[in-house]
Amino acid sequence: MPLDAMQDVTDEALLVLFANGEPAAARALTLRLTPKAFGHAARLLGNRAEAEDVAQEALLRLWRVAPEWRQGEAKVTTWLYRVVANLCTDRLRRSGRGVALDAVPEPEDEARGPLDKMQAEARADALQTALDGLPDRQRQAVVLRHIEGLANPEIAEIMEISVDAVESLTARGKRALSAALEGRREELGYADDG
Amino acid sequence: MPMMDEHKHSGELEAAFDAARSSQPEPSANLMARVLVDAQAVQAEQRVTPSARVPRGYMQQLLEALGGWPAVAGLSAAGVAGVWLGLGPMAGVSDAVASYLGMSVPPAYSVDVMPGAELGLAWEEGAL
Repeated sequence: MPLDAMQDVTDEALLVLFANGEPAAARALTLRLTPKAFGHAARLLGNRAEAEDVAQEALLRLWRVAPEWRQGEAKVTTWLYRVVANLCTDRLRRSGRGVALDAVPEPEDEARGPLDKMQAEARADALQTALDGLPDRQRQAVVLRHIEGLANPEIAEIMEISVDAVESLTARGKRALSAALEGRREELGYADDG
Repeated sequence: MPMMDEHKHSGELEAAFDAARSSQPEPSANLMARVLVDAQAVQAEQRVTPSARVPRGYMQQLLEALGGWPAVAGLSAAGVAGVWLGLGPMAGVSDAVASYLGMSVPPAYSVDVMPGAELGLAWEEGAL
């Protein structure tokens, strides 16, 4: 089955095809889910090499549970974000936190001038540094809500907490991030924005 | 934090989130390849596992379901015992029912005054 024929197929249906041995489903799921797993791990860990290991491990676990996957019970991405977050938490606990921020490659953006691009990169890096300073659960909630763009009920399902608890975590996280970025306003060009 | 500052900070934070969203960390080609190799390996394992079993007939599956040959031997013994019990007169069957079934019924008033005499006679006659 060609890959483009799978664009409209849900992750859950692809996983069933995967379990049935369909090679195209393996490729489609790899292309679709690896960036999500890796991106989330990179935000939570602030370390590219570790994020790659976590993403690979999380997806390996997904491949292994595919034959037992029960349709309609959970979204594949919800399951994946949860596994990624748990693996990241384990790593952070084992390493005792304080993981250095690796250089995260930026996608090419021809539409923006070099100065704008540098400023956006600096802001993204500063945000990542500020995120690294948050408690694990606050960081996870803020990343899922404001960077991955998920709705609070789905975040609640991923984190296995109530929607109220998600709102509380994101609110506290955002306050802490604002405070952390406060000292870098001029450096990051926020003063020029008015 | 005064209201105006809070709005300003909220706008700055939104700008930072925008910047983060537009520079999502991209997985390397190496990671994509590693993940795909895992996926294909697991698919191959899952394909091999069901067909690796030797095809078995219904009798073989029934035998396994019953617990193998020892269980079947026990079942055979129980079956033979059941046949024997079925052919022999049932102790609890009333005389009327036994008579209806064609079984010989000893007279209710007869008393064996010499139990074992028949056995002794048979012995003397060399029947045993």
